[in-house]
Amino acid sequence: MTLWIVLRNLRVRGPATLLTVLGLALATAIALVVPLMLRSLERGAADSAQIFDLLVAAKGSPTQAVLSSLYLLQPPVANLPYQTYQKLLSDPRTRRTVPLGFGDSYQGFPLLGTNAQVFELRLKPGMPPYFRLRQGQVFADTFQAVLGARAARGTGLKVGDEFLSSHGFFASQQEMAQAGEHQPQKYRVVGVLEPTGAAWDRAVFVPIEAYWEVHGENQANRELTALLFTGRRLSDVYQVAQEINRGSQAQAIFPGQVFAQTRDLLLQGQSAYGALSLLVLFLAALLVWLGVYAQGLERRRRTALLRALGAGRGTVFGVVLLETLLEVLMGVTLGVLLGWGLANLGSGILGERLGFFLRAPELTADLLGRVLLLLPLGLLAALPPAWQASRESPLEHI
Amino acid sequence: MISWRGLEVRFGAPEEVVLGFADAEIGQGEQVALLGPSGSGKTTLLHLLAGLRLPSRGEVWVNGVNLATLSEARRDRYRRETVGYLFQDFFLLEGYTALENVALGLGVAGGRGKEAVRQAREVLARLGLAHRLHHVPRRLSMGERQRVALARAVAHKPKLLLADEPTAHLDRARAAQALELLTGLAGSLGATLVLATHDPWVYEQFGRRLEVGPPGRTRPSRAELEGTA
Repeated sequence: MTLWIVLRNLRVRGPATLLTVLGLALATAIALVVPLMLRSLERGAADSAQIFDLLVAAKGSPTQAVLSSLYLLQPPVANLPYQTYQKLLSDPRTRRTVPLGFGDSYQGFPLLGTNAQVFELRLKPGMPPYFRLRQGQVFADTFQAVLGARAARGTGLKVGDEFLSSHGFFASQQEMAQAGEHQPQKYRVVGVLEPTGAAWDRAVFVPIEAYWEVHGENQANRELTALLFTGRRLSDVYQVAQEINRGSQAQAIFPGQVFAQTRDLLLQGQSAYGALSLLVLFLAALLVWLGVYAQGLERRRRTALLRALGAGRGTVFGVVLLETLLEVLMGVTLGVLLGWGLANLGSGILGERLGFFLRAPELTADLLGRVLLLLPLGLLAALPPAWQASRESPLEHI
Repeated sequence: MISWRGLEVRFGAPEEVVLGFADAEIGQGEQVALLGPSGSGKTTLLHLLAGLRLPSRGEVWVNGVNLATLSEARRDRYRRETVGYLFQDFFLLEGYTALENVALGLGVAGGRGKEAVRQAREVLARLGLAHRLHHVPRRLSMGERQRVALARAVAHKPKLLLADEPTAHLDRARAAQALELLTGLAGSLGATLVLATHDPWVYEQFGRRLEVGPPGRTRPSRAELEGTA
């Protein structure tokens, strides 16, 4: 019967209940939406940095190397000599070496010259390949292309379609200065990849040989933008990194460094936002407190009647507390749904701007725990009036 | 059987008012009217009989139990199981429909949700309010509100029905109807009825009558202290 009474009280207080629930829902959504989106981005970035042991790029800013090679956001400063690639290819400590060469594009989507080993990259040994084909197959011939999910959607190309690449967009600054235009090159789409949640979704994967051929680079003057190195053993990775960094032409960047760069660049202000959302949650708890107190005389009349009819102190205490608990639960539930919906929407928009598909937001225990903090806060706000209601003599209001 | 002996209630500052009540005994099923002017202690006596207040001195006995010896939880239980209270001004909850106001009383008395609503519907229909079940109090006439309050007081079939100025808002004709309804219902339930009124006409309608008050004071009033009395 307590629940019966509580539900009617909430209905009787209709507008006030609605405002409190909406306030709680908005606070919950605010606390959730940005972390949900950023974590999708973070997970995509974390995964894309874990499919190799070292990123090897030309000497210079590691941030720029990461942004150009892994996030396809900035043109590379300089190229790596082909010898670095060759040396690593023949190194017994190498499990896999994947070259990366940028320079051409199609409708704004960068062509990534690489080798078929890129499709063998895995998050961990034993796991399925990181790049999974949705349609078709990987390239087997020079002018074949495999489209990242975003590139496929953006260009509208399908398996079997042909397209002409154009020079630029991701040519290195050095190359842009030196090289002139080259003739557009015709490629045929042989495969389309599933979304990865990372910048790779924007790439059009073509064989590195096509990149060299288009840019007129022969065996003697071939270059790469960067390469992804995977060692046989962990100790090999450290050794190789040390050796590369000792040299004058290349730098080796660890995935942890890559991820740290990403966090710094893409996830700026996340902790400040976390603090702000906690503040919003406290404000929402204040809203509950205000809601309980705003009922004032009406609530006292209701509880006085219950007591006069014979309801015990525990019952009226429970009624006031349960009313608040239900309001908070409704608010938090609505807020989680709202936050989830907005995060999905926002991920789509952010992904659109960044040029890849963000993964679906994942409601983790710590995020949920943060918003569930509203339950004890709300109950704490309801305790004094509930206690007061249970101690008050009904005679004061009869 | 209800009785009280040596009953006295004292109210505090600024002036201490003492309400004293002559000893009385009321048999089960009796219908008794209490008469007294405003402030004489009629409502206080009803509160004492309902276990809502404990006397400063003296005892109230109901069916062989001194109410003052009961714990608060036992007095709550006594009230919800034994007492039906028709409050002055009805004390209906705004926002609750007539049906919900009555079901609330049944619910507090231990009725389950749907069953309480079914019983409330029956009682209201018996009191001629079947067409007003889903109306909130402000959309009911004064007489209808009183019948809703009466339905709430009798729905759980109490053995003691306390009515505080039930005819205060009614004209003579409607007051007569209300009294007939009230006494009829109490009679059909076999409940003892104790009705408080300041209206001598109402008082005259009862075979058993008790006069209450006037109150005494142990300290001078503020007006007396300030010399304006």
